[in-house]
Amino acid sequence: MGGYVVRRLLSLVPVLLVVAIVVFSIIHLTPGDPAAILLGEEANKAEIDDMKSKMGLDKPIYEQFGIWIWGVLSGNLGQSIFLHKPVTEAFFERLGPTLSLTVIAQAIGVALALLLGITAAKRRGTAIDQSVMSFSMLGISIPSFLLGSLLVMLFGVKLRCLPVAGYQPLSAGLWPHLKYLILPGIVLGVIQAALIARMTRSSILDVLSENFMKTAKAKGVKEKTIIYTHALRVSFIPILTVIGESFGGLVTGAAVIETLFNIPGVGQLIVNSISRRDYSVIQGSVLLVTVAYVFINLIVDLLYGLVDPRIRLSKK
Amino acid sequence: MTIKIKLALFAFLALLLISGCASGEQGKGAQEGSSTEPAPANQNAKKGGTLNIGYPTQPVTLDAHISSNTAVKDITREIYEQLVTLDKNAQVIPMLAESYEISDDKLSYTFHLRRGVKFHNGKELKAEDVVASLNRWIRLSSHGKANFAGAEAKEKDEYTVVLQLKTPFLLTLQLLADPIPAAAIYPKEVVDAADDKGIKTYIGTGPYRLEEWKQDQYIHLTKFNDYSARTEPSDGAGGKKEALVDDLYFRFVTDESTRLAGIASGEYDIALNISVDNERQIEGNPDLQTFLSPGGLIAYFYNSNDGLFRNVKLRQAVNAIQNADDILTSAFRDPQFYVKTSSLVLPDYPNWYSEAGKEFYSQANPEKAKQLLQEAGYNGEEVKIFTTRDYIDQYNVAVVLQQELESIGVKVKLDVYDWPTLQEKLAAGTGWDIYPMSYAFRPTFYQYAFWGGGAGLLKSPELDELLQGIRTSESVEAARPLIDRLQQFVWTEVPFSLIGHSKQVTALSKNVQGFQNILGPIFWNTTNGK
Amino acid sequence: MAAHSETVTAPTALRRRERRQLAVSRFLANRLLTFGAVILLVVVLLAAIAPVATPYGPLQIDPVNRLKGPSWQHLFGTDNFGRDVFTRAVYGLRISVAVGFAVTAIASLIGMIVGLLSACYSVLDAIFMRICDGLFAFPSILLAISIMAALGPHPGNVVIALSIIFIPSVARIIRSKALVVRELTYIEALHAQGASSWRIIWIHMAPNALSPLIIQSTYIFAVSILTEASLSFLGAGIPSPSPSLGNMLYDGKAVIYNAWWMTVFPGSFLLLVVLGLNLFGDGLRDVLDPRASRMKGGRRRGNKTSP
Repeated sequence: MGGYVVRRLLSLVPVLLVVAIVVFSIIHLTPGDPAAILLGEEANKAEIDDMKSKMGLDKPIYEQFGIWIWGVLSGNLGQSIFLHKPVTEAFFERLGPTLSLTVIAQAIGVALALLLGITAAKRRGTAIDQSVMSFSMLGISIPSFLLGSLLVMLFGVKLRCLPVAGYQPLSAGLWPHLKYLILPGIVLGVIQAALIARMTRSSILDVLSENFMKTAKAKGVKEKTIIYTHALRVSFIPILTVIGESFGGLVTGAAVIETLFNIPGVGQLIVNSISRRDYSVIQGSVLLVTVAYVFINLIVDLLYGLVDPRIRLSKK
Repeated sequence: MTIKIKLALFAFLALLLISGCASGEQGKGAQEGSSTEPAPANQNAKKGGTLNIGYPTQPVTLDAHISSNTAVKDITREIYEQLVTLDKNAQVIPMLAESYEISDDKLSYTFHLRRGVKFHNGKELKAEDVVASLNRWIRLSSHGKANFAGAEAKEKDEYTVVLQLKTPFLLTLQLLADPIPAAAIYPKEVVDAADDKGIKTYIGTGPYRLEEWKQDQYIHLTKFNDYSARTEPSDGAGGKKEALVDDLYFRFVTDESTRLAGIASGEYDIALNISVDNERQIEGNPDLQTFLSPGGLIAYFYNSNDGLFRNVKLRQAVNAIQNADDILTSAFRDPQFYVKTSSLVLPDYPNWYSEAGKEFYSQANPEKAKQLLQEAGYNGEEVKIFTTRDYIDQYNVAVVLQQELESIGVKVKLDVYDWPTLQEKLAAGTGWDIYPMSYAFRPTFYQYAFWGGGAGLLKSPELDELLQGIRTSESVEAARPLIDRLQQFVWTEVPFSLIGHSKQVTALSKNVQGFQNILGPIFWNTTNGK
Repeated sequence: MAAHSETVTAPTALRRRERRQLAVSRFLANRLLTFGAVILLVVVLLAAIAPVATPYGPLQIDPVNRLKGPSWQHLFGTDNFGRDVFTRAVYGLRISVAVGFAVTAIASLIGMIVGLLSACYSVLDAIFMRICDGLFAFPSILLAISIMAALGPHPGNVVIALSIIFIPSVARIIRSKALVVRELTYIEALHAQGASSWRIIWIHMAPNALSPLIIQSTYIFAVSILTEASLSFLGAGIPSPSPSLGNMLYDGKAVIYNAWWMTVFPGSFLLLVVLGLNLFGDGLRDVLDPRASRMKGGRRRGNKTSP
């Protein structure tokens, strides 16, 4: 297993190299630059060019890449132009909100999904099953920002019971922290739930059709007991896969929701940095996000082994 | 076991929702309570408390010298002060200076500083601080570079500073008082430690000091207890300034509907940059009030140096089809939100207001336009309009302009970029023909930044001569004929077509009193009765 | 919906029940397909008849009638330029479907080529799969935003940006299927007979990989429409004022508290087309690949439709 982990970690290197080259070239091909942003709306070309050379942005592109990659190799992701702090610091400041949001969304998603998936599997073929499946179909078809806008309209403006934007850190208290994350958490969670509920339902049904289940049923074991003790356990693997994959996706992919709900997470940091052309932050964050993504997937793969010892990790 | 799991799941979900809405009711109750209270707050301005401001963008820096970014201006003016500032009629009045004198040759400006003015770090303001700051401003700011070449500030004694000019400049004081980019006075140490990309610490003499800058979330300013106020009554951005609330939070909310929801739910006390369409929500809400102030000039600029629009006839043709009413209603809904005038400066500033050439404004004359097109030899070439959705007024103008031009048979391509891209594309000076642009409101037209290098702006000896004439005039009265001639020039040579002036809509909670907008929002002397 | 394997040992009562379930699930599957197809048909019809369905143009402004609610003149109301929302929504549907289709076609084609080549040549495999890993780890929406920023706002660039995002997921699926096919006896036999590898890849392996490709394509179609909408919603998609559904939602967001119709109608259109595609895809999967285990799911971008 140790060897497996090492190999997985080594495979990070080419991935990171690809990402580094892609992100650097994209961002430097993009028109617009931080010097113009810093000087404000009314700056003219001469002033901008002047500031560019002060920032070292007039150097040839390969030289800038060399400087950056050398920094990265020596563990320095650079300094943000607008945040006045190192990129790593800016990134880890933003990781907290994103993680909180992800955990809440995931919790809502899994809880709702298990509830719906199990109910649907138990009542398969009935109207309940169909409505659960229709719900989940709607859930995976609705764009997150649309659902977000609708929830904001309902809760934030009509009912006025939850704040519609912003963020409070956990240090401000549990409730203040949670209340800002409930709406965005529901948006992401419902979409998660739709996905996982389908998975739960079908994998329970698959397990129920296995021979050992039939034997159990034939022996007169109650279906409820079968579902909760055996089926759920066995179907945990596919569910875990989805959770793992979407967890990675959530950490990095909540950009739209973080922007809509004004949550200072990693996604918002990158989106904002793109719009102010804060090169080093974009480059550094994307690299760190890549590392996080690979790690999360590694953890999920390791968890498989714990849940189901039959899975051999060495076989990719 | 089964029941347990189910119960736990249900309980978890229910808890989330119930807790959400239960506390919501609490919040609502509290709000109703405060709004039904008798209104002593209204008569007797309540001191202390917090002001939460829903602000559209984060400033790119807190160095007022280097940037013309609006957010930089609005936030830094609470922290720093200038030698002179503007009263409510945009006339120059002293601020950190006790008084000032101008020499007869108009080349030296002597400022006597007020004594005992403290910086946020406890140090007293002295001439050396002013000298360091002014010279940095002259060297780095767009105003300084364009207008004060060769000028230098010198220390005469501990409390006296002389600004020595190379040539007389009519608007010296006006620009020193201008908030964009502000000639803010920093302590000398801050200037010494700064590089050209910005100062490292943010220390001023203003009524509020920087407490915390939480990137992309908020800037928290607190009351500066040792602030030394002037004794004259408050007047515009000058006179007696007092931090009447203890804490100011500029909360950065890019999304307008989120700012709107925030002020409706009581999360913010003030929300800036509300669009005119959403103003209905403010108007319809008994807890809120609308505050209108001059927003800025909006015009579309031609590329007079490259491509089709080097031909003045073509510029005149596009100008002839312009229907200011259509554009203004599309962009600003109702006449209360814009000023329809051919003058570069609002009528409220009679020194600079001029109606010269107004017969060429908003002609809405398709026949004339078509004829001019023909004279210009226009032959179906594609006209490229560049714009951005980051500034929605500009985008709205572009969309209407496109329709107007297509109605007289001009082929138009509208390219929409994000702001940084647009800025670079325009600066390249080629590949585009027209762009709409708004410039923050100024009380004199000389201050508009486009004269000094707006992208594609017509290069003309006549224009340079007029501007130079205004620069070196003895007084505004002496400059008057030139002002009219320049205004006439704008409408006949058409370097750009002015559409009108917008108003800025700010939403205030009814509890907020004393809010002002002098070339941008001002939060000192503002109370929150909540 | 679930696939069942018949067992001989099961008691008859259980088997009967099993059969009934099978019938139900088949029925359900067919219904999914038909239901999805009907929705898609409606969408395509709407998009096709757009120009004659309404007397207005999608860009035609009317400042006097701005932000008017739904009425007989304007079925879905008007937007902040007085443009007819119904007209724009129908044209928007057109653009969304066109973009989705183009992305699906390009991503499927290139993804298939990359997948097949990777499966057959280990050197290419190493290169392509590392690139795919890199692109996978890169958050998709952010990748698309950056590509759009670099390329500039043109509809063609949206297609390029989205295709780049979806190629890896197709490539992986085709590759894994092709790896299985490669080991089949008849392919080995072909090798033994001296058939050129070119011929083996394109004539024998490619058709075998078609059914997972078709299933994956319907999802990519759906996800690319959603991603385009999200891009436009963040201001980086189809350049406005073109009436893409995402652009309309972007415009609607600013006035969501005054003009619900600017959000609700384009939003329902978007939901409708994505729902149709998802239903259709599920139905297709049940018909084409009844043994496919739901367990595996697609990879991140294949199955998860919300970016």
